[in-house]
Amino acid sequence: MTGLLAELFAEYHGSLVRMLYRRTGDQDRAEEIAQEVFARAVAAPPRNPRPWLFAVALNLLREEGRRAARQGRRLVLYRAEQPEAAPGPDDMLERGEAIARVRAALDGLTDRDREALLLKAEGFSYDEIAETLGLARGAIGTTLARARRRLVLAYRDLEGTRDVAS
Amino acid sequence: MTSHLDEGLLHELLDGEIPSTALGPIQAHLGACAECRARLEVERALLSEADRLVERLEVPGARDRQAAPARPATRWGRNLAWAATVVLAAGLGYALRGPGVQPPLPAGEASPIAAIVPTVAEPADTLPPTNGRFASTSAPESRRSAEKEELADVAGLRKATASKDPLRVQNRLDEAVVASGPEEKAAQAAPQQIPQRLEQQQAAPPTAFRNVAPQLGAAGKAQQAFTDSRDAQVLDRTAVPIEEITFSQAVGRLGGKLRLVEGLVPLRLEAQGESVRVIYPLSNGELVLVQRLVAGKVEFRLAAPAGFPADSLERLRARVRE
Repeated sequence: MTGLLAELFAEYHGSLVRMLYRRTGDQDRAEEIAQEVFARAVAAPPRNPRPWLFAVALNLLREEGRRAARQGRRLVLYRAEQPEAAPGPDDMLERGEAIARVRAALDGLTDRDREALLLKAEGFSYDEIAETLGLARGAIGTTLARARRRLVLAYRDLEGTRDVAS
Repeated sequence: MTSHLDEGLLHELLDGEIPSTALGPIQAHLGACAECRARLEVERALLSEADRLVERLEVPGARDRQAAPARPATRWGRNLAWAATVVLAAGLGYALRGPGVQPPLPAGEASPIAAIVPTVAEPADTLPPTNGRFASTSAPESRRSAEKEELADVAGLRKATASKDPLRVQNRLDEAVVASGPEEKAAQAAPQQIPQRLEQQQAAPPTAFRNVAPQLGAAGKAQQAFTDSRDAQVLDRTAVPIEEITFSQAVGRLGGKLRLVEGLVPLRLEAQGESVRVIYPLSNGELVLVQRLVAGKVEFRLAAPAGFPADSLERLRARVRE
């Protein structure tokens, strides 16, 4: 069992955390949810791990969101991003703003569009996206086309707003 | 196909998710419909921009963690240097082997379609699941004919859509692992000789490449742009021109040991020096399977555009089959 966990962890952990981080904007939550997903995988080893792991992760996120909504707790979706290098103050500000705009644009998508987009960014095939999200394979192209368009347009809108404001 | 291509189909096409058997009508429509061609380019730009936006949301610190051990430029440089010397020796040996091995065809002698006469018999279970695009000589005639049509579709589609592809220039290929135990051992065995041999190799490129240089197309230019943007040590490989070759030529160059990524449909085949490059389409660029014959064995590496998930690349690498 430990071998299975190690294998799954080595192969999918990085990708899963990245997807969860992109989805939530919170690295700690991303790590926590990933841990929970792998714990469940060990308890009930999946036959097709990748779609299973990501589907469970997204379900956990949705459950958490519903629970938080019931409790009236506001989810923190915009945690400040830490720059990776050590650029100057202007660069840091610019980079942080750009990332915040991307996240805001991404959060403006529907769950389905956003998740399809994030799974594609992790290298999922259309078949895998369909399996993970429980969608028809034939709907994936349209879903991704819509998601990409909305993301780009929302981002450009936010950029335009910034330009007008400044 | 008379109606216009919807955006979902265009994105499927750009993501490389259209089965090869369904490409024919789409290619035909794109060839005849300027509006859809224009929409395809718009969607391509949209897709590229969306991918770039998503990639900005990198886990803090992830880049640092990934960059340190996994992609040592020095290792590639060492491998390349060693490989350059071995390629010279292997090339000499290859030339002296006599008529038992089919020599590469001269560039431009045959079109990719006309020249697809397979020379290697592969077991059925090693063929890509696209029903043997590159079939063995034992394939029925009707099947070979269908495969020629499929390749015509792919080639035509590429020509129809790739005339102005900014991604080709923007792409920055990420280094992947050069898979080869013997190569590393040999590199460690004779490290002092490497720089000298590499210099000799670069100073006197094979005659054939001098003749090919003027034929460099978009791929060559894109590679040059890439060269300008990255560490020169890593990118010595781009100093050698790239030429498009046929399947038969690729097989011949590798002594019948051409490798492919199982389940993916190649976009085109290229030669660069002694290396053969199999190009696969990705949504944000191209996946390149570079392989060459070293001491009778094929060594390969897989490269994808920057930002391509490392774990996906690993899985693709595991699907490389002879």
